[in-house]
Amino acid sequence: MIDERHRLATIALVVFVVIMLAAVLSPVLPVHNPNAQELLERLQAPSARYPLGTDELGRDQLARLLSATRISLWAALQATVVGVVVGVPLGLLTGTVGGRPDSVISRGFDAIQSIPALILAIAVVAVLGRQLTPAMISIGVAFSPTFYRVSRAAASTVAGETYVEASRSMGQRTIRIVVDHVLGNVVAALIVVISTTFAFGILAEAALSYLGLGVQPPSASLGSMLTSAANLLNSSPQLTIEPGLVIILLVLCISLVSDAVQSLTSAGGGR
Amino acid sequence: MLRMIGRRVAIAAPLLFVVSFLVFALTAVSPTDPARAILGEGATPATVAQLRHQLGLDQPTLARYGHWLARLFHGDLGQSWFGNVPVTTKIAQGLPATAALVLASIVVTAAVAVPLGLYAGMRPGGRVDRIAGAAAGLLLAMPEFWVALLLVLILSQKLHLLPGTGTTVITPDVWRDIQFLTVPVIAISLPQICALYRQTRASAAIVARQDYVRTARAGGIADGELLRTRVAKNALVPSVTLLGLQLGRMVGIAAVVESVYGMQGIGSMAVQAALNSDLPIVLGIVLVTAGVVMAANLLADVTCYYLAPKARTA
Repeated sequence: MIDERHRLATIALVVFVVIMLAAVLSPVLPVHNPNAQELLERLQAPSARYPLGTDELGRDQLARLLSATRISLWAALQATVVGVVVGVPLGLLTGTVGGRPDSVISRGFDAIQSIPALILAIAVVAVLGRQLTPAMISIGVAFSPTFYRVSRAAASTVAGETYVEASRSMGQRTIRIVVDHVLGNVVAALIVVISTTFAFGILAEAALSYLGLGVQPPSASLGSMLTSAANLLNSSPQLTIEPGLVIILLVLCISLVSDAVQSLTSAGGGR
Repeated sequence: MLRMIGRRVAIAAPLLFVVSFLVFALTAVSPTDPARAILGEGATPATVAQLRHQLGLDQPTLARYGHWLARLFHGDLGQSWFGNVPVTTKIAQGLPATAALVLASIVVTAAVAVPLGLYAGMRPGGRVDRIAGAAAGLLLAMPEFWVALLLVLILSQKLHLLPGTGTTVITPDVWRDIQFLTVPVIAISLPQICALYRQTRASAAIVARQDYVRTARAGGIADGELLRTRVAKNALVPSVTLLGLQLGRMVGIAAVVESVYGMQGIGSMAVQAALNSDLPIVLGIVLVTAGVVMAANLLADVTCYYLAPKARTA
């Protein structure tokens, strides 16, 4: 059972890396220009020239999917990095120090958590205009309470250990204690939060760009490809199905890997 | 019980205050000038200046926050920048549709995930556990609005089982409402069912391994009764907490699904307002949503308090 699950996770990791490489390297791969329109070759069926056919403006669907995946992955990465940068250092600090800073900062994160991620992103877009980066930064901020809570919990457990007390009594500064003793203990728990946030980042990007609040034309993401495809849902459903399948594949691979990491690091190596 | 609720409210009230400050801070950093946005491109500097004065925009930021907060306490969220409608009126128009959508989704989520999760958790490795576990992993990866698009294609356009997208306003005709809400509710619920299923299954499996459950099982008590009398209450505490958090997530996702489906809820209203940079509407919806999320978490806490007497000291 455990072996089977880990084999699945390994396959998922390989698939994810292959998709990621294909997306990142798409500008140098031998595919069409994703924005080149061949209006005489609109909505073509798959062929040798267009492996996945063409869209409503005669653009190569495969090339569009690859460049869209690149933008979606980049967006999810932005959200994840923001979540880590905002949540982890503060969580490590308050978990180690405790006391008043802990209760004040924890309240702040509670307040952030009461705003749903997508609603926060919509509000930020309303204020700053339709751009993907601010929207994804706000998704990261909305997820920072989870990073904060996980690193704070791990830090406060470690802070009670005798060896931390010992190094404190030897006059080590808090920052040093966090870096030397606490950080290593948090990494395993953080990997799970990072993968969850990355997966949600992909879904959130898709939703925001679908609504026209994220990436702006002519560049396309997996979400914005669905906006134009939705109008052709009845006649050309493949244009809607394909970007959706890429999203599902990416998110599924990430969660399979994350589940395996979780079962490996939790006590007993599995349920 | 009452004292516990009072303490939780005392914690939540300052939070709403912090949220209100965050929301106002957003307007303060906005590069758009409200007066110019309302009057449009062709306005003369003099009329812009006059409107700025009327709106109090020529005052310092902190003073504006004070006025805004004072009006907020009177239930006044300001006016939409387009059409001069009070924000509260607009939100009240959209609230019934969103409330119906989210509440129906919460009920469906709990009704499917909890029994299935308890059952699978009592028999880890069994057939239900394996099939539901695999299905949950797959369904969790699906974007809700994409599911909604495909359901509309299959159920409405191909099979003609349900009405298509359109202006869904909640009406007294309950049957019609149910037909309209089916697709959006399925789309919103599916991933949440999976998340709640996983949580319930995991905690039921932990409780089922406890010595007192094993003893009772050895004593010949059937699984059904075991579940009812010894497992369910303890296993459901984390699920109830998650359900409280899921309500917030659903409100966010409702924004997307409502837009796909052409529903006139506060979610699609927020999206429209964001596309038009109609800040008062968006920020009003953020505040209302935050309030609802806090209330949901409070309700979840109270329910946990009832379910698990041990946690009552917390």
